[in-house]
Amino acid sequence: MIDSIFVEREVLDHPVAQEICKRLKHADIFEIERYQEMFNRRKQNFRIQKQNPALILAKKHDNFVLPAPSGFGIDAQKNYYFSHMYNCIYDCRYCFLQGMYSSANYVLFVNYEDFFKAISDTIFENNNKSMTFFSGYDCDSLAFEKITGFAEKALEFFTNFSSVELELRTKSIVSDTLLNRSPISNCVVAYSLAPSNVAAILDNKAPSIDRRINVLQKLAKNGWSVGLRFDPLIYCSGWEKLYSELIHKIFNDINIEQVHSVSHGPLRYPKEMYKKITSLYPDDKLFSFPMEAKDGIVSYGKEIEEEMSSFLQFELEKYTTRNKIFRCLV
Amino acid sequence: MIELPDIRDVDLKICWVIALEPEAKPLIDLFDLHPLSNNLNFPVYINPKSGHALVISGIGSSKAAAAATYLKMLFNVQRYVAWINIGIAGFCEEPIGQLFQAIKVHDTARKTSYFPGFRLSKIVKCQTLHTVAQPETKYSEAVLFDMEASGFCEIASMFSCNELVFVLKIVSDTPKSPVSLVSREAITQLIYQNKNKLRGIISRIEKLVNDEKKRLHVPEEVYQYFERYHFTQSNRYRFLQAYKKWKSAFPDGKLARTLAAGNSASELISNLESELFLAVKDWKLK
Repeated sequence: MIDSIFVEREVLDHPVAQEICKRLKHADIFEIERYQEMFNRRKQNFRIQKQNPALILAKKHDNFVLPAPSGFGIDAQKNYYFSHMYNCIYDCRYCFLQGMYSSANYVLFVNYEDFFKAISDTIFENNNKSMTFFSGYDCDSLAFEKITGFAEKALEFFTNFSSVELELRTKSIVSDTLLNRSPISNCVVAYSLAPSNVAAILDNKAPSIDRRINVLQKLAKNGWSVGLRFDPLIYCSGWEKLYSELIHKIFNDINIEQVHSVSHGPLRYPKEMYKKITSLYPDDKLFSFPMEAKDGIVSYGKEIEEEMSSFLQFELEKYTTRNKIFRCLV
Repeated sequence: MIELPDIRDVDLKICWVIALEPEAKPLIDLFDLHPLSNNLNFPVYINPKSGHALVISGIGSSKAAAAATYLKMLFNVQRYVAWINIGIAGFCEEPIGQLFQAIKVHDTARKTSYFPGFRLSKIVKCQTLHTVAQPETKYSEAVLFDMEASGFCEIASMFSCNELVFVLKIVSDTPKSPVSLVSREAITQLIYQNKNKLRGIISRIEKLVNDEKKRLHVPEEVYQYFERYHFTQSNRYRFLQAYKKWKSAFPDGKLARTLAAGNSASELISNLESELFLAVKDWKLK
């Protein structure tokens, strides 16, 4: 539970900030000038801070919409992402967010209206091109929804742009925002998935895989397009059987028409990020694996990556068509 | 008085930086601290057994910074050690004796803010603190006022990390009870009356320190290899990284056995890595 909120002076009166402070009525509120004075400080200890993160409410001034890294997108001509929030309430051991920021505190940019303005500008600039906007790149799209209400507003916004896709990427089972309304055809609710016992070890504080599967099947039954994201693929003894069972379990009870896309991607880190994450968790077996460092990227190595990727492709093609399967290579 | 110990023998957990002797007295009692020597620039107290050291800085932000530095140099304090500044503070409202953790410290003269400490909000109330150059008598804002914390925060976080630097303040004066009426005895009494709460806070902080110490710990057996073989700086880093991975993968493994065939730094590193590669096929995540 959030016990402290730091609010930039400039957004103290912003309706979103006021609403959030009202929702978190037991939290202490502290005024700050700019979120960076707290969030970007040197000598912060991410691992300790993660035990009790604070919420920072701030205003974003620029870079509302950014091109998605190549290899991240599905099949649109243009892929963009936006980050209304930095950091995540879950604590997944492999997550790049641990090496991304020096702080584990959550930053929420409350000027949603500026995000939507920037998104509509981007849409108009790219007239006639197929586009996907990814939410949840620097956070989980739905995990904090009860506090932020961002996804609900994003859905309202995207109903006006039916030719443009929105992907909400999540591990959350907070699905009320979606189930309480009729589905919108251009929104994909994409679930990050891993075999149950892998997730039980690595996806700290996140809902179990069974619960995630239940919700995504429920969403599909209610007419929502769902995405399946096996990213990153985690190597361990018996991984073939584990992934095979996971895939079977998901497809066993889902209307295939509602599956928008399936993607899989390897576990990879930029060298410096890997160094930072492993120093945070030196005892974690995920990081004691003899990884390969090549061209500034740390990974399981080409051989394991190819083996896992081919296997996933083969298993997925048992249930869905090849044109829905994508390999992510960020 | 105790003899100056060999700094290698003192395994510190918590360093206290306190402005005034009446503020320090209850802590000296509570943690059974003993004076180190009469010939020091700042009075220093220590309990080598419990790992607590305390320095009395005098009033003012720069003295707090100087005293913290002094303590750091004296004991070569490790970076997993927690630093605590505790003392009295002015506040706009009663009750006198209320303990707060300052989680935002603002230096009014330099217009700089610090955000020290892992928030212990389950056991102590959190508040903003302004560090001022002169005692605050108008209590113009709904924040705490002291004269040391900003200097302490700036320096102590360089020695450890921001989350292990704590500022704790006890309300000693308010508009109803002005600072001019606060006696030395009253100050001591205010700290004493919070001793149970302080014990709880210290126990939580010690847990954080122990976890951090464990994370940063390099076992003695590693140093033995550094002494026995020639390691370049880069090989030393590689060996340490390979060792950490190996230890995590094989917590019960015998290093001497794994490295028995190695006769140079590169061979030792290669031996550790080979053993990891051999385990890949049956790799467990736990």
